[in-house]
Amino acid sequence: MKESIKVNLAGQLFDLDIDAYQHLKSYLDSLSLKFGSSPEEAEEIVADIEARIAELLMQRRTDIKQVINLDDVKEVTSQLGSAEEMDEGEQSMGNEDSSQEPGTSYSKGKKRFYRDTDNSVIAGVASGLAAYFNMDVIWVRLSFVGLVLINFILYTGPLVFNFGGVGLILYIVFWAIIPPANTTAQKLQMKGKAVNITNIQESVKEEFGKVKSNFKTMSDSKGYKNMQSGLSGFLNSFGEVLIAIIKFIGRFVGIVIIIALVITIVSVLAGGATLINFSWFNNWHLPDVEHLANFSIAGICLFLIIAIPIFALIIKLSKWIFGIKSRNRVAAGFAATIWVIALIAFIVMLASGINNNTFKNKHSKIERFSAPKENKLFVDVNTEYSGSSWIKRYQFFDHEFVYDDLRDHFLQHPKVSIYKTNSNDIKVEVIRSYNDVKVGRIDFPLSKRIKYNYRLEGNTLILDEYYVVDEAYIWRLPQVHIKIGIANSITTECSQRAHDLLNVNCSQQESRNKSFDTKRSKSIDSIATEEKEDILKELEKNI
Amino acid sequence: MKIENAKAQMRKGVLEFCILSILSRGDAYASDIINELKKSELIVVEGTLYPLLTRQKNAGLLSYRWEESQQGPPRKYYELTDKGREVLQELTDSWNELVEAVNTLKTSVKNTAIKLTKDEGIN
Repeated sequence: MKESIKVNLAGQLFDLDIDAYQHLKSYLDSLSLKFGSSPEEAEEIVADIEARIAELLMQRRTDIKQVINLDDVKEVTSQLGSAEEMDEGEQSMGNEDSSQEPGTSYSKGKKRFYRDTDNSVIAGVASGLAAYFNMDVIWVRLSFVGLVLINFILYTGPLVFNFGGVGLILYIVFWAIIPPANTTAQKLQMKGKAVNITNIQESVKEEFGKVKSNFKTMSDSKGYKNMQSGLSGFLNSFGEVLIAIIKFIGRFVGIVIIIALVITIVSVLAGGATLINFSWFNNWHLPDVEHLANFSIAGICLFLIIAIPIFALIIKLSKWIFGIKSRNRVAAGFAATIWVIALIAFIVMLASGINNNTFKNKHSKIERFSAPKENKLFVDVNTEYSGSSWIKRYQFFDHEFVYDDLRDHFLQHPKVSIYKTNSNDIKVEVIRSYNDVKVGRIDFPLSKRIKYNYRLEGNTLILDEYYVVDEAYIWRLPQVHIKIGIANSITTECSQRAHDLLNVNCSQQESRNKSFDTKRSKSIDSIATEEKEDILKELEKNI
Repeated sequence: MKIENAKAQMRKGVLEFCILSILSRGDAYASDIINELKKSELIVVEGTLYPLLTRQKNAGLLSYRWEESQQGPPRKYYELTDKGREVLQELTDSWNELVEAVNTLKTSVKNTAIKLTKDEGIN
């Protein structure tokens, strides 16, 4: 009893003996190779020849003899002629000497760069590289992994580079440039073997053998599992379950991140207003997601806008340099779409004023104090807030963002400027610049929406280190500017803290190493009438 | 130089011309064309024909339509296009010129040979 293979030739079904199949396959492969220089024509020519082969084979098929054997194939292929014999109708290719061996080489061992998709873990990039440079695949794979890890260890540069870094980018570029070795001829070229009839036949046999043995190991392993001891069997299935869970979690987290990004993009495009309050994310204890999304959106868009064309250029150049002709329309269209989206998003963000400096509202509150004792003023900072354990800090390039996880507030350093005046008192002006945003369900007065306090204790002016804003201001954090006008006659000293944290510039007598005791007593209630009026005004507005 | 090579060279130039000629007599299947060419011993293996047919079709000299067949897959039924007819005419003229030139050459060589022997004979 022999096995036979079902084959489709020009839409007709044939059963072939294994050796007949191999002979036919290597014949057709040699034809694709021969006409490989003009691929559009080649398809048609080979299709015509296949149709003719089908016609001839049908004549040899009868009720008695239903399976095509090797002799049939040999006769038909010799009637159609081998690849060289077909040349009698055209310009001679290469040698005129017609006494060549049947195993003529079309290309002698010229090594070409292909991806090896038969031996691939992800996309065959590593295997292809290994084949081209004649080294073990392991080393190539290790170096890719190494490149990826290096980036995780050295945290440098924009956020996006840390998702795998150089290794990932290189891999993707290779994936896009290097074409896969699909036909037998290409596979031979990848390994650097001469592409002639003998090698093609061998290669076909090898591929066929591999498929067979894969079938075998599959059926063997099932029987093998029954024989394994209970413990190792359990460990095996446990491991599989674990891997499945890890994969699932990984995909789940990935999907969450993608959804968060998409939502933020959508709400940016809808005009800068917060459609969604990110507090529902907090229930999942994933504050990192929302902050990542917010502060990196502009960065990601900019990166994409710059990177995608550069990528495309790199890929085009490399293809041209290495003479590779593969085209990947789907990937190109995908990249182009992403680029357009990034461009639009970025432009909208610019237009809606995320990165420029004009605020719609500006509010100023002034308070005056008479000159302190001895005409000496100390300026210090109240750092109580930053000791809380639920304060989180994020570094985005050179800007630090501070977040109160418990109350969902942002903390920012106010801008403080001190100047000399000709009056004889101390004038403290707090300027709040902000855009209208709905905070929660009730509109709070401004002083609560953008909270900032200071107090004068004795002759020490204690400024809060941070002003506090609700997270609703997330798209455009308000700014607070404190202007302190001090009479010429008053000498001013700033603590080291004030200098370090708030960048306070005391032009007179900067003392370097004094820190002042701040009594943790209740602050003196010094709300001036002006502030009360402001609060009333706000309430009136909102009714 | 082997005789086979010389013959092959002569055949090579002529196959495309022959395909067009055969089709000018009437539309035909690829296998019909093959049989004609085999009869005149112009081709030995069938495979020679398919690349030529495809290239001529892509050049606009031929067109085809599909015909169902009882003996297997559908077959292409070829016919000459107007452009093909033009090219055929040009090739025919060129062929005739070639034949005449060669014949003239052969005759003139013969005449010169006779003349020489005559001259020697008379004297």
